[in-house]
Amino acid sequence: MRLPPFSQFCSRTRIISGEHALERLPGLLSSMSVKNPLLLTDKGLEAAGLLRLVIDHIEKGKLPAPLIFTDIPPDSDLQTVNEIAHLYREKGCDSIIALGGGSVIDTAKAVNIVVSCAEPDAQVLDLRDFSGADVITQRLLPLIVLPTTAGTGSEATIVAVIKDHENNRKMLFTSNFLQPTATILDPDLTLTLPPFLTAAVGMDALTHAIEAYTCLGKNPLSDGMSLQAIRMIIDNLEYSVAHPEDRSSRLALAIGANLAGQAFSNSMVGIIHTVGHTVGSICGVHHGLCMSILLPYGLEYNLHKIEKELKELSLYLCGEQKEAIGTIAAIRSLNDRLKKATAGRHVTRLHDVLDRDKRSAVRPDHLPIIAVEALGDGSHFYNPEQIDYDDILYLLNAAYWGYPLDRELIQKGHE
Amino acid sequence: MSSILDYDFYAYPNICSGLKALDTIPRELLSFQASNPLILKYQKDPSRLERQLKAACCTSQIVLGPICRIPENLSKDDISTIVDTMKESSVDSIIAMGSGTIQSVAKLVNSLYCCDFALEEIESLPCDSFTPLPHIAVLDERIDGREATNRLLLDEYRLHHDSLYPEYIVIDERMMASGRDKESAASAIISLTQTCEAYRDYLLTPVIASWTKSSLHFLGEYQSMSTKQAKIALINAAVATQIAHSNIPPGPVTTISEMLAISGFCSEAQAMATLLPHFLSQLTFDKGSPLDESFDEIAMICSDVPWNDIQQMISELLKNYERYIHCSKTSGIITSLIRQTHRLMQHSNNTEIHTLITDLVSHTTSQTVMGGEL
Ligand SMILES: [Fe+2]
Repeated sequence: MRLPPFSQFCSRTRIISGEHALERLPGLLSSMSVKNPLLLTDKGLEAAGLLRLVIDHIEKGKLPAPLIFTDIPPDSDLQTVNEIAHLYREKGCDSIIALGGGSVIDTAKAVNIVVSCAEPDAQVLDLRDFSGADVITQRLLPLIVLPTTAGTGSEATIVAVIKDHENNRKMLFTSNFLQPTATILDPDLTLTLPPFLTAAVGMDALTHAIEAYTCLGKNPLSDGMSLQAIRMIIDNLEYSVAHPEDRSSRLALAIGANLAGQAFSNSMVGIIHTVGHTVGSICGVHHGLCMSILLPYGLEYNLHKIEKELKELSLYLCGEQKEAIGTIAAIRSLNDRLKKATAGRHVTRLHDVLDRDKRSAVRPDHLPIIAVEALGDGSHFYNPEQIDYDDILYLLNAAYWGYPLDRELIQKGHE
Repeated sequence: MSSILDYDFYAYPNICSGLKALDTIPRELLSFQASNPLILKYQKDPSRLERQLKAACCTSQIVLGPICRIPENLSKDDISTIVDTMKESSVDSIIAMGSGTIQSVAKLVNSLYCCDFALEEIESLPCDSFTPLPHIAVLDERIDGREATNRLLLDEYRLHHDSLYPEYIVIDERMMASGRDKESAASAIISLTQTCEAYRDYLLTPVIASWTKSSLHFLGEYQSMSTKQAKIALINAAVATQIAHSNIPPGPVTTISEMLAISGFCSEAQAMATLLPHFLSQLTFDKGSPLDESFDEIAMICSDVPWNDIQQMISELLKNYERYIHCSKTSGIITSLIRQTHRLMQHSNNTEIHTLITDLVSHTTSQTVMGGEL
């Protein structure tokens, strides 16, 4: 390993983990001198009984019930953020609790930007006033995250993505200050996740860890997080899919996803996320499923640049040290086993992804559009090999039909 | 029953390492809305460090506040003078330049200033109810093992609470000096000890495992790289392991070494270098045990460095350190260690410490070199 000439590692979030870790929530709130938190979640989690569970814990701690907002859409959007920010100010809240997955957590981060950075007497609260690089230059108000999908790692990252429907664009916020104050990892929060989603979000977490370990922004601290994350995910993902009620493997997955989040938040990702983000936004495919399909192809594409790293990872993915190609084969066979365990729902080719009406979500004519759009995704700057339109199209075609990449073609293209 | 998956890992400082890391200080201060930092530096350190810091701040709105130069033998009066200076200048942050004592001084004056307490009242400091000033620790290779932690040790003053964590750690090669090889060898021993203690299987939570893994990676670089880069790697190793170590109860080697250092018998690194091999020999490396697997894993990952065996790494670092201690001096240290630790045993009910000392005594008495002195 070589030391990077410059590296910065930021992970300010306190992590409370364990079975029954939720019991620590009231104590945590009291230790932060928080009196009037705003609890954000979505309707699905309310219906699944998770909101009730959290409120019960708060009440058991003899704290007043928090103000609750459950109208968060699956894709966090600007209008919702501004609406919540006004509610926060109006009700004199002093902190935020986010119960949910990526969308709820990103919404909470964005609300925290507005309520922390806007002038105290501002009449109009608008997230758009704080977009752009280095706009957030101060500590934000307390934010406690209770993640419910062991996958996105959002509870550990410095990023929030919010959709601006009016202008049809995605607003990206990046700042060290976006990391939550504390996060509680409790298996009770992920127990209701169905097996095929457990598989998909688990593969998203695995992709975070592997891309963090192989991309250009890696550093020894993120490496430590990645390796530990991979170990925990590999040891527990299949078991958790097969035994959804097993608390111990659920908790281990949540910890693995959290460590992977810390890793990629400090190193960045690469081609798999570059292409995956675009497949997700154009074809509406679940992010985790995109990641699991694209992961072996992205690694194959980068192989000649990351042979050493993949060889090191074989210890974790194959159980013994093997050649780099062995790591990729291990991921393919993990995907195959997950497909079996989820009765075919965890598909391994883009061709096989279905939408709600059981029609193909990705069509061949989508692929050139995805390739153009993907070039605009910032994450490809950290990919170890350069990427152009033809490369992405080639990779997409392979992932669509499920044939491995011709390594000779790739290397020749970059000579 | 608690398992390694049950833990509360306290948030740790941000770490900025590498070329021009010093230049990030103004940005960081502004993010705390601070612009008037107290500067702490060792009296004997060159004044170029102040100039470098000034140069880093010249394009920002930061005006460096009072500069306090810390003498080698710091007195109680010196501490009070620093706190008075802080009050007079209404400082809003602290930048402490250097590793070791100076970071403990920063944590101590920060606590006294924020609580408006006198040094004599330190025992009754309300640990959890004050917000400290942002503390930026600019580290060099003279590590004492507490810089990035929530602990301070300054003569008889010892404190341990979460408000003591620094906010921001800066590792910049401009802070390194030539001729500090002995100090950096000692730093490596301290870091290695903390890493090994954090690696004890029953305490090895996943997040601690991550940090200790990173520390071992860095220690590997320390062995294999050119001087300044090696020192950067060493300090990174120290910071990573301190973050892990500050989230576990200190192990027996650290505990005994700290007590011996306080009593003035030897330095902490000397005590650690003597005790560490005994500590390691007690750990069971049973095939398949979590500990064995963890060390195996590191050995595999470190295959690109000249040694691929973690135990070899340990002995190399020890050898490197022993080069700086004269042999006869080492026997003297062991003798006083045993006398002192015997005394400690009467007051300690820590079984780990008992086992360690018993092993040390039986080992040492069997050595002919020690026979006469015992
Ligand atoms: Fe992802």
